Amino acid sequence: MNGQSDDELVVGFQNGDEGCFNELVYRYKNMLYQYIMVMVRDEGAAGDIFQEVFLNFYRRIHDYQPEGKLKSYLFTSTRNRILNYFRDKDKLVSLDDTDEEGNPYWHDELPGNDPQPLEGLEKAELAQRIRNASLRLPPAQREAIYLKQYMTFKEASELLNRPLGTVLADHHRGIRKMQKMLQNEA
Amino acid sequence: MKNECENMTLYFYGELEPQQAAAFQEHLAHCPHCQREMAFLQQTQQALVPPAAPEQVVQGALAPALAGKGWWRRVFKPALATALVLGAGVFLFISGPFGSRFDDDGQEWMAYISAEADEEYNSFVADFEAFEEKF
Repeated sequence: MNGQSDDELVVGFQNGDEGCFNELVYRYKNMLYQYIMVMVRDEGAAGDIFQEVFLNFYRRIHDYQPEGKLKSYLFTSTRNRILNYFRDKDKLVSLDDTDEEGNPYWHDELPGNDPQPLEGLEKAELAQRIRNASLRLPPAQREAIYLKQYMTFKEASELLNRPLGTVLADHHRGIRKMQKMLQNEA
Repeated sequence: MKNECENMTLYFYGELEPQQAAAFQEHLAHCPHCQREMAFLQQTQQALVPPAAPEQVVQGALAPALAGKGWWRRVFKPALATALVLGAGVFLFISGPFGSRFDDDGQEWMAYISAEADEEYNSFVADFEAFEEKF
C-alpha cells in the first residue's frame, strides 16, 4: 500500500514519474468503475467512460492544482461523462427505469465483493439480493446510495449540486425502498 | 423522539457532531426501529463494497496505454485523415474529367497505385506496431 497522498502522487507524475499516475488509477479504479456501472449498466460503455476519465486526467494533469480535491475532481469528471453518455444516446432509461409494464430494464446481477462461500453463503446471497434491489431504484436514489459508499454526504451534495437534505432524503428513501423489495421477496 | 430517529443515517456514517452523536446513542438503546434500520444499513454497506474493476479495463487506463492513445490521436489520426483525402483526390483526378487521358492504361495505373499503397501501408503498420511495442 502506497502511503503517499493523492496530491503527492499528482506532483510526482507532474515531475515525470508515470508510476505515480498508475498508483492513482489503482487507488480509484474500483469505486469509479462501480459507480459508472451502476449508473450506465452496460459493461462496454462503462469501460469506455472509465478509460476516458483517466485519459482526460492524464492529459490535463499538468493543469491540476494539488488542493486535496482529487477525489472530487475524478468523480465530477466521471459524472459529467455519465451524463454525456445519456445525452448522446438519448437513453431515457436513465430517467425512467421501468418499461410500460413496470418491469425494470436491468435484470442482470451486479458482481460484488462478498466473503468466500465458506464464510457465509447466506450473507453472500443477501448481499446479492441487496445489490439487485439497488439496481431497481430510481437513478437519483441509486446514485445517492452508491456515492455514499465513497464519500461523506457533504461531498456527495457538492458533487451532485443538490442540497444536503435532498441527498440525505434520496439516500433514506432508497434504503427504505430496498428494504421493502427484500421483504416482498421473502 | 422522532427527531432523534432522523439522525440515524448521519450517526451510522459518523457524520453527526459529537454532542448529537451522544444524544442519538442514548436514543438508539431504546429504539427498536433505529436498531433495525442500522442493521440494514450495515448489511447494505457490506453488500455494496466495490468489487475489483475488470483488469482489461484498468490496463487500458494506465499511463503507458494512455500515452499510446495520445500518440494515436495526436499524430496518427490526422496523418491518416490527410492520406485519405490525398488518396481520394488522386482517385478523383484519375477517374474524373481528366481521366480520359488515362483511359487506355487506366486499369494498369490503378493496379500500380494499389500495389504501391499496399506495400507502403504494410510497411507503415509494421513500423507502427514496432513503435507501440517499444513504448
